[in-house]
Amino acid sequence: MEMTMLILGWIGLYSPLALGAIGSMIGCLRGGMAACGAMLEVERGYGRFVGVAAMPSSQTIYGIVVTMTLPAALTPENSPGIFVLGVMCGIALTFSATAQGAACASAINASKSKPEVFGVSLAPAALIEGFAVFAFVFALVLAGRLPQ
Amino acid sequence: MYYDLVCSLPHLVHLERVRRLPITPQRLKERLRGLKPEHASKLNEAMMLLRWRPLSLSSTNDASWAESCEKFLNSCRIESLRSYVQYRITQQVLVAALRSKRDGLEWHDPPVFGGDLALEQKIRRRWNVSYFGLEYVYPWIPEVQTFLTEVKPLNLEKTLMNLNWKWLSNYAGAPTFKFDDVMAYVFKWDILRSWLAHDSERARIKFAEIANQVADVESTEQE
Repeated sequence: MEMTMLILGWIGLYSPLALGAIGSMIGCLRGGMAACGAMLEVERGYGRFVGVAAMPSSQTIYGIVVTMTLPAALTPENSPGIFVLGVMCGIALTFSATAQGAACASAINASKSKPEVFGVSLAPAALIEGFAVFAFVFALVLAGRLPQ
Repeated sequence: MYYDLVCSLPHLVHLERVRRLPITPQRLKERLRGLKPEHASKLNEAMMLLRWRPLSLSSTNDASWAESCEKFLNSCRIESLRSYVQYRITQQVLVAALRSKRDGLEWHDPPVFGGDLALEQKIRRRWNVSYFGLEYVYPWIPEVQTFLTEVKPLNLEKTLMNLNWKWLSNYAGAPTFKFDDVMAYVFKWDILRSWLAHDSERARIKFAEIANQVADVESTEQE
């Protein structure tokens, strides 16, 4: 039982980073593919497409910070909490990164034909980032309440 | 998912505002190489059936077209393509029925769709009812009938093109970067190409060619 608890604790400890990275990979893939497609159609402004495509990478950074903030010393008392906190935060980061990738792709698609909407078209991606930040901040707050 | 392909296609302006094709046929063909083989082959098949201007007039009559459509619907598992083919079949059957009625003809017997299309049965049952009693289901019927009666082919074509444009825009409204977006794009592009191809001088020459072909066929039959 104790061993099971510790295994769950390790899963929870690494989940924010692993799941965040998986989400970032998918999100950046979506944005990157859209950027590559748009580059075939425009004559300049490639850099901003690449910048937008890289937006979902922030979830990996949040994952790293959460993983580093969770208590490194695992005990049967704190492992269940670490598991729940880590996995739930990781899931939130994964979904936000994949959704943000799709939002970035839409922004690239819109601004390719109408460059003046570039800023506004990024609003949905920024909102999604906001939700990822909520998940990140409250994971940090709750990590401080876990038994050491 | 076709993120790269959808983003590589230029925006299509509505046919009432378009001045030129935003992408050439050759370049579109190149971009469509990014499709999966099964998507590419089915899109190509559907395009051959539903091209706004058929490549040749001699190859298709109602029955063979209907047969090809049924064959396609039986073999295609892509929902968006099936829906669009069914939409176009419905539209073409209704326009053909309205045209036959205007010319004082009877409706096909046996039906060209082998009786499977409930619409044909409805049309036959309500042949003497105005608009076949279908004007509430298909609100565009009265407008189309007016253009048919007043012999305004350009207005008729524009109305039908607009209907197809709206259907495709509704089906693939916000980009989902799926095959549906590509399918809608290709058919809308085909509508634009046909619209931009309107040329009264070329039409006159084409009409003369067709008239000659018909005259040749008739003289051969008489011999």
